[in-house]
Amino acid sequence: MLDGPKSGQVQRLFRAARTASRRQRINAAVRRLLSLLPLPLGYGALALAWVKWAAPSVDTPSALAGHFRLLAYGWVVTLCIPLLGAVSGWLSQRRPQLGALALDRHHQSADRITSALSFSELAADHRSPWMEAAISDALRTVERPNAARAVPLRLPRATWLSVGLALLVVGISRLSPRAEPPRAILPAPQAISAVDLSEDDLAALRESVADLGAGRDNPELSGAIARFNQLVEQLAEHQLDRRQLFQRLAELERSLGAPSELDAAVDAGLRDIASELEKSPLSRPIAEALKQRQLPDAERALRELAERLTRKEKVSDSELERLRKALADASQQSAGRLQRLEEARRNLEQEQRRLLNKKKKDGDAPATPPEAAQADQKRRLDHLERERSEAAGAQQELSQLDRDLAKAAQELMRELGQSADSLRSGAEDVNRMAQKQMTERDKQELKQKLEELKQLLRQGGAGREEHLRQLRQFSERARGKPGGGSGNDPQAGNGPGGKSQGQLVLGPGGQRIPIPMPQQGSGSGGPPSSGNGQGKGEAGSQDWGSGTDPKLQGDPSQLDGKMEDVSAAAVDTGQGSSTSEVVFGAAQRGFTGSRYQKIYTQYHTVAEDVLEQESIPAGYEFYVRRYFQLIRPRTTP
Amino acid sequence: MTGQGQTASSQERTHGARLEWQTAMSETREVEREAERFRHSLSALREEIGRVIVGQRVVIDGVLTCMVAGSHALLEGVPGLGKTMLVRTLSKALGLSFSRIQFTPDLMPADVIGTTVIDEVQSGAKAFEFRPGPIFANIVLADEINRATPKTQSALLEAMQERSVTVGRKTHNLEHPHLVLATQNPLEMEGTYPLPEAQLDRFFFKLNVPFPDREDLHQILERTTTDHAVEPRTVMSRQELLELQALARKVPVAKHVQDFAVRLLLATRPQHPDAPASVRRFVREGASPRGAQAVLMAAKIRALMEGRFAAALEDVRVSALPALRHRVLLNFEGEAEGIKTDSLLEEILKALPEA
Repeated sequence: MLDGPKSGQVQRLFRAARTASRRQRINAAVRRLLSLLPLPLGYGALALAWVKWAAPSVDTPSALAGHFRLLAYGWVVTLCIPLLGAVSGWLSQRRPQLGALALDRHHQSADRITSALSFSELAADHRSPWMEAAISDALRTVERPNAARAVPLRLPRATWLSVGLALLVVGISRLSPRAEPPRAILPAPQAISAVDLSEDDLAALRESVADLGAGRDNPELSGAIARFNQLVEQLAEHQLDRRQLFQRLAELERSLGAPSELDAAVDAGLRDIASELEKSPLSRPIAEALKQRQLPDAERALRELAERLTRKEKVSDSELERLRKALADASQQSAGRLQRLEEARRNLEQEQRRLLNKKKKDGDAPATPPEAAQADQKRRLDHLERERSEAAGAQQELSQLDRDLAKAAQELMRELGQSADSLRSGAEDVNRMAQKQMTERDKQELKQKLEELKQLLRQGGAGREEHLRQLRQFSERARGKPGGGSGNDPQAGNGPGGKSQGQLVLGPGGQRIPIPMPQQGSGSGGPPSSGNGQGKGEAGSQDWGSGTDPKLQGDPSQLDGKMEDVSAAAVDTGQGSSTSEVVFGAAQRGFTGSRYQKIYTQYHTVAEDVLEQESIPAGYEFYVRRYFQLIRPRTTP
Repeated sequence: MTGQGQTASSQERTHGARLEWQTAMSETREVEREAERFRHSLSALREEIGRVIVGQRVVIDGVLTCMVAGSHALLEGVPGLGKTMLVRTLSKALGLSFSRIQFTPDLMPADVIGTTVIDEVQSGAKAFEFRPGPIFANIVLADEINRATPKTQSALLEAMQERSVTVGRKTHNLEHPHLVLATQNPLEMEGTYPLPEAQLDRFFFKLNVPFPDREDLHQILERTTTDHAVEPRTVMSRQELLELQALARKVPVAKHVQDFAVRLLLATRPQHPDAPASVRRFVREGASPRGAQAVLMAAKIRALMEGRFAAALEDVRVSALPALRHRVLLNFEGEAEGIKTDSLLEEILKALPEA
């Protein structure tokens, strides 16, 4: 470092250069800071505007807090950018000569100060006289170095933008926030416990009504089927709970109407007509068909008779006479029945009036005709009235047929052709009645489907657990374990090692039901509904359960039920597979094969017969039919 | 005893320091005097040249700088701009020997450096005698140097670099100072042999001689078309010139100035990471270290001319163009685009930070 008298002046140069350098660094830092400051200020203005105007629209306080947190993070990040810029600006101006060069520029000293400071930093013995001369020259040239003027602290142009944005932020902060109109609080939608049916059940329901109403132009039936399909789709969409579903089913059932009593009266009328027509060999086929309620057959028979008459086949006069008489009698059957009923009703009314008069005459005397007899009279009268009303309806229904038969009878002896036309007209009447009958049958079938659906729902509802428990008990008994070894838990003590059921099949609503398997062995214990104690079977062990049912009653070995040994033997031809092998193989191949089709047909026929003949709950009929539908033979797996 | 001893010691130290300071001050004054003499001498020389040559201040200063640096200059300009006149005037003002060589394609090296001839000595015997060529003058004007064959050019340039000529087995030193001022015409390129890059590097400065402006033309006409012919006077001796050359080398250079010159040189090199994009694109080869030497030497001379005792950044900036323009070689793309090395250098100087 420089010694001697010049050292003080050189020190002054050094200080000035340092000051100039510091001011340069301040300038650089401020320039970077202010050029980047619009970023956080602009962000702040936007964020504040959002807080003032958009934040009140946010639904929940937690969401609002989340938004605020996000805004705060964003602001901190944007604020860090100018700060980092300022730091980098401060550090970028660290070169020591910059301050001295700035002084040189200001004093137009052509690097004299910078060179002098550079030379003065050298050791004295390394400084040449020329360097000393350069230092002296610098001191002479720049007597009073002025760092403040050399490096004035200036605000960059971006300052005004920052100031403007700062004012904007202040202005926004002073504005009052937007008032959010009170929001209508809607009640929370009630969650319904929708009825849940398996896809199989839904598919079966859809298929069950697919064939109903086909070819019949009955808007009432078509509407009912459409409503049923809509109901099934709503079930698939889980839009209905149990209560709603049962309401809808009831409405649908009501729309289908009750089984018409009129039909019974019409049946009776047709039977009467048949009994008369039976008397003629020519009209006997018609009578047979009417008796069996096979209206299409009756129509066909009428048309055939008309054809025979048209063709004027050889028919003896006596046959024609018998036919005429039969037709005439048949045409009067409805009217005659109605007359008989009317007469019976009149007789009963007279009897009733007579009894009332007698009662009045007897005064306080004990009632000879008891009240019970009077009530009986009234019941009979009501019954007759109802019968008369039905007969009237039936007569109205059959009146056209009666007229056609009567006309055919009158013209039979005069003109066979005209008589045939009347019979054809009668066939049309029968056809109309047949159509009506078929529509009615479809309605009843649809009602049957509704009933099956109800059963399905009942089984999947409140009583489902009990139902399943019963099924399990049944399976245990079927395995030869009559309720023994189980206390509270129906599964405790089951089989070897307390293992659970061997095989499960789908029950109502997709619930798995245990099916006894031969290899599971049998339980030990008391008879059904008897025993006392807990099952002691342990999971994983090979021991049977032990103990008795607390409700044990009677002798477990006494079986009161009638038993019948049934044995079935098939003719073993020694050719081909056994039935079980065919069924097993078909199941593996996807229910294909001609042998399986044959076996399926046999089993299905038997099942259908049983379903028709036996009184089986509708819900179970559904499952049996569904089961056979699922295992039906297929052409391709 | 101790107190008196300490006082005496302190007084001795103070006296010693004062003596040192006085010595330093006297040395500083001596330096200042030398610098003042330098400036005065060059000013006188410049004035004397200015009496003959109209305008061309930059060219004159450049030639003077080369002369003080003891190096050679390449003057480029169209004919008739006073290049020969300038060199002739300079030689007369300095009182130095001068020779002019007009380069032509048939010029032989011997025509430049001299030849050995058989001559008869006083005893009557015959002996080989070296007859020096025009290169042996203090100031040599190599007019239209690019018209000579490379062989002849090489002979001249070797003499310029080595400051000696070897003929036969004998080396002949050239007298100091030795200054070659070569000229070349930038327009007539047919039948010329452009100087190779290695030869160009041997010129300290390449000075572009500009066409005189209107005022200067008036003065030129007035001086050359009347009977009032101005004959230059000798204002500086050869010895003075050698002292000035020695003096110029004493000028110190601060670290930041030298660093600036180094960074400037590196920036001309396309391979360097600090080189601007234009240099990377258009420059084939940057300046050699000889270029930085020229820049710094020229900066020192300029500082002295300006009355300073140390070279400044501005001196480097001013010296950069004539010292580097012939050392920065353009690539094909640069040539095709018509890029001027002067504009590239100006771009570098503009972008280069001071510290």
